[in-house]
Amino acid sequence: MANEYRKELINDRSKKAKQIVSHPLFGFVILTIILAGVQLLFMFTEDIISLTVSKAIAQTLIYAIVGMGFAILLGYAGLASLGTAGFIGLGSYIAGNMLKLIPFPVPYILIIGAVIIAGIVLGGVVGFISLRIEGMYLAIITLGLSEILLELFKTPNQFTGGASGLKSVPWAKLAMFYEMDREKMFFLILGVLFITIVFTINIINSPTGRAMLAMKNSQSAAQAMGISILKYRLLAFVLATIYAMIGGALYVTYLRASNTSSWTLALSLNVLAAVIIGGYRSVWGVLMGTFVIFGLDLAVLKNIDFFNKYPGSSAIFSGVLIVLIVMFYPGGLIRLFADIKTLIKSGIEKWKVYRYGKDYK
Amino acid sequence: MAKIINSVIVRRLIRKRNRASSDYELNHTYLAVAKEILAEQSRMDTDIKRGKIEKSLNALQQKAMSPKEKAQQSMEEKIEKLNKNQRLPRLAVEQTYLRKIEKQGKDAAQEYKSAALKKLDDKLSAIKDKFEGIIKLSPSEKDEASEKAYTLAKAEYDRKLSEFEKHNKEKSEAKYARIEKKVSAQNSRLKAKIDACSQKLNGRKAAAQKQLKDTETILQLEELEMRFGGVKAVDKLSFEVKEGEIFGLIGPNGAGKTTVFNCITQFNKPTGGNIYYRNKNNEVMDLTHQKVHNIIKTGIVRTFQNLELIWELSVLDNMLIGSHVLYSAGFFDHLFHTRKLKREEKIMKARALDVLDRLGLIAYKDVIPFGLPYGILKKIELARTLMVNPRLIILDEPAAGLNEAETEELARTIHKIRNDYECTIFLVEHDMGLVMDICDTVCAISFGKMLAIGTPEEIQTNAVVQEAYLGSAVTEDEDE
Amino acid sequence: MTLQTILQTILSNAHLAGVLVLATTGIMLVFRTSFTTNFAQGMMATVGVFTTAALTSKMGLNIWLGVALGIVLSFLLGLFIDVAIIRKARKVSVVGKQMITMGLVIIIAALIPLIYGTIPYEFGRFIDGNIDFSIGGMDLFITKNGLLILGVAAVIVTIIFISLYFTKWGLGVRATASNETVASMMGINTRVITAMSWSIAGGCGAVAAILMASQSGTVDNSMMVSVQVNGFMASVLGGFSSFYGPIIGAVLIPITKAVVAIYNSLWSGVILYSVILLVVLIKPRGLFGKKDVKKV
Repeated sequence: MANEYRKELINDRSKKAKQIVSHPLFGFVILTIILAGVQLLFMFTEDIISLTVSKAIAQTLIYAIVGMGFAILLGYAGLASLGTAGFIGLGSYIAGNMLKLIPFPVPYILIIGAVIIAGIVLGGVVGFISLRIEGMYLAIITLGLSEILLELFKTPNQFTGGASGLKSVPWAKLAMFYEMDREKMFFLILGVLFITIVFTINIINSPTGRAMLAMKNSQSAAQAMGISILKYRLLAFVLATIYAMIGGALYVTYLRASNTSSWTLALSLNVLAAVIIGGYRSVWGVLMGTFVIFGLDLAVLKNIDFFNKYPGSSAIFSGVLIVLIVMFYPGGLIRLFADIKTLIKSGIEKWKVYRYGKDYK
Repeated sequence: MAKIINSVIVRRLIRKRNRASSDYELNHTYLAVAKEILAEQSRMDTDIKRGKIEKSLNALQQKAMSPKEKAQQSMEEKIEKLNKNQRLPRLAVEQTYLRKIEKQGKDAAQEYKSAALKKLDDKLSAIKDKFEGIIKLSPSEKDEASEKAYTLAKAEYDRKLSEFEKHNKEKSEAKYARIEKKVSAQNSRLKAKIDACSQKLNGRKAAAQKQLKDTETILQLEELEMRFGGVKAVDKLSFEVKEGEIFGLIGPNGAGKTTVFNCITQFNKPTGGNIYYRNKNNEVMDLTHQKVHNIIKTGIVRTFQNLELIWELSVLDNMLIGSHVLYSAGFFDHLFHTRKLKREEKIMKARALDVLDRLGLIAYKDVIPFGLPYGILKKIELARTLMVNPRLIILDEPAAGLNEAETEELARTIHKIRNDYECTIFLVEHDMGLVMDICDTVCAISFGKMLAIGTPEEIQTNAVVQEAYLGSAVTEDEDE
Repeated sequence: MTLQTILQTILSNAHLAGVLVLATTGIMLVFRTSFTTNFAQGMMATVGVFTTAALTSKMGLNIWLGVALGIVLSFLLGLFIDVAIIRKARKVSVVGKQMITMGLVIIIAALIPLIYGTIPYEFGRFIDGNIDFSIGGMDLFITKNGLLILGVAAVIVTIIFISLYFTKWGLGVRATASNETVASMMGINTRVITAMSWSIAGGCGAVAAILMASQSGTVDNSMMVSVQVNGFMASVLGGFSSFYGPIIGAVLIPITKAVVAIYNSLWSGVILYSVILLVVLIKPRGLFGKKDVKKV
């Protein structure tokens, strides 16, 4: 190739090992293996990992899936939504009812399929709304939508179980016959999370992700470059809604219950907080944020006596963290790590210049 | 009713044909890019192979050497390594010496320096002595069998390499042939599709087509009118832009220049009049019927008065945004990162790098544009318009905010673009110097109405224009 | 369904409108001066009402003194939030500011049980008894407490609106609302204006929460959540870009909900929100909002 600058188009086969390590999915594969290992540890020796921790991890992973959809919506398409809780709830009720009402065993793929279709419909509706209404108005309108859903859940009927919610949902079947239980569901959640991560990374590194970012940064430039605002707003909302609904389906099939009191504004705000704290431009950031907001609370703080005495008080941590991070670290925790890395690097560099003089290289 | 159905069908056919022809062009680019990439790949593979063979050859050579030579070599290696390792400590000694001069005076520093350097030198000479002792003792006979093996291997070396090279070349050629076959099959299908569409179109549209007066005209505004409430920003404006020229639109502040642009690119829907545009298939279309995000598909690209770059993306990705409409990969290709998408990404990247190189921006390809000099940013925005092989580039005040040197550079760039990419350029500008310098035709407007149109010289001497500009343009000229 | 029933429903729910109007005024003031939707509005108010309840029922303080202290505390809390946090977060994006206020919600919601305990407080009415009267032969009644709520809300909102249009502070708020940078360049101290708006929002919220508690009888951590949500809906319905729009929205929402509930109590919430959604879809800037244009 004549031009040196085109080198990046060719994959250099001499650095195979480096290529594997620097592959964007490498870290996630490792993470998945570690989490699976933790679960195996729980299954064989309950002394090290208790059921609470295993449950907490599973829930955190579910919210991570939801958070990823939200990160696409907020970080890439630049649209804020406060309807997440309603969407998760709807997903959980759809999945729960499918398991409860359909007399023959429902394969899991069918549940996911139904939830995805519902997500496309609902996301499409919100997407169309977002064309007319923008910014904070949109956030409040989605909040209203979530309230509508919540009211629907609360009204006593056979599908939602009214205020007491869905209870004792039967275990799902993976195929037609393979019955799941809590341990096996964990691996299913892990698998879905991994697939979600792969899809998310693919989307944000594709023309779709770029188009969404373009739309967020400058609508006029995006339109001039042939990016249809309608298409990408709809897409962003549909994706976020599908992610949220899949999260809901996993939630109800894992915990076997769905309560109206879970699907309030507080949950929407927590998802938002998780995404912002972690850093909405990176999947690692979302994972970190959901761990801080949901995981720490569920797995660690709830086991400390002080916080057990005053339920909900452990949230002070996440509250303070949100305020501090938004004020001083808009990039999220993921930026903090990057900054620490550069800080160390520049520190070493400075020391070297001091010790060896300016032109030591 | 029949007319509506007809127009719907025509529109669909046009869309289908445009898609096909853009894919057709992409395939051609792909072949070129694939050829380059394959050649480079095989060269790289050969390099790797060469490295491997040399390594094994070196091992054989080592074996073939006599113990004495071996010791000699290992000494050399050791000393080289030590020298390398001692580089930093020596630098450190130098730095400490400089600091000590200030703190403890020259003598103490000198003392420290010589002591420290002596320590390092001693280490070096100690190793030298040790190895020299070994060399003296070791015999100088060679192992004949290994020597023979080495000479054999050396003779083999070139043959092996050339064989590999040949094999590799054949392989990559075969691969290229496969790709070419596939692409040409695809292309012939596309060609057939394009032809079929054009034929159908010819039958349908003949009557409905608007004919432009001049066959060289690329853009024709006809009685364009744009009202904002009660204000007429553009008032019955008509003019033509000829293919291949650089057309300048000038006027005092608030004359409605940018509004004209916004009307052409459909950011504002005109309240009256028509805008005709001839596309590359020589069809005339009325732009007022197009959606704003479809304008770029007709070959019209614009820039903005206040830079509209994507600040969260690198310069290269900003360029790729410019080629967004060329991708034929759908959402599911994006979701699964299919081969089709990867292929298209390669093409677009190659093209983007090419454009960046031509405009001298290649050094910035991986940086986030935020914080770059204004002139560079303007150039990046200009470069972005070139990603789709435009026919008409619309520049909204390209020189605004640039200093004199940057403006000159911009004028050169605009000329270069016109010549390299064979496109028409239509610009709005305040900087009269730039307009008079580069434009072939200039149109002056004021309060949405046309004042005069003609060559720059004609406009400069036009009494009406001078009157409208009195106090603004004239003084501006004098300032420069 | 007789006219009497409808009128009686409106009267029985009038206090909700009063509470919502006060809460919405706070939201609106903060929105116009700090350009953020304040999720902490409800929590600032809850702190006030908890203080009042704790002081009066635990320490046996005079009820009016307790009310005054509760309002002052919320007032100061509003001031503190602006001075210590929002003012320092000037450069933060719009969504970021929203996030900060919701972080505050989480903090305050977690602190309240630590300070005031986890058991809900009881709260008595200020005045007991009903007023019976008849219009055109229809016998109607309104609780005295409800009337008090309406009166207090009307007085406070009137005072705020008079100051908005006839005092220096009001001029400052309106100038800041239309363009903060220009306002500060014209010599208006936007910091003071914003801080004042936050504190008044806090005070208004506390009054709303205390009135609400006096009608419902209990004080708990989540009592203002639905008021908060409805306050936002009212603002969107009326249009954030005018001062009076949100107030009209705040009057309309509880009344409409109550009237709809006569016909169908099960679905009244769904119907109400759906109608708001439709209205906002047709008029994206709200019923009384003005459109702003972005220049390309």
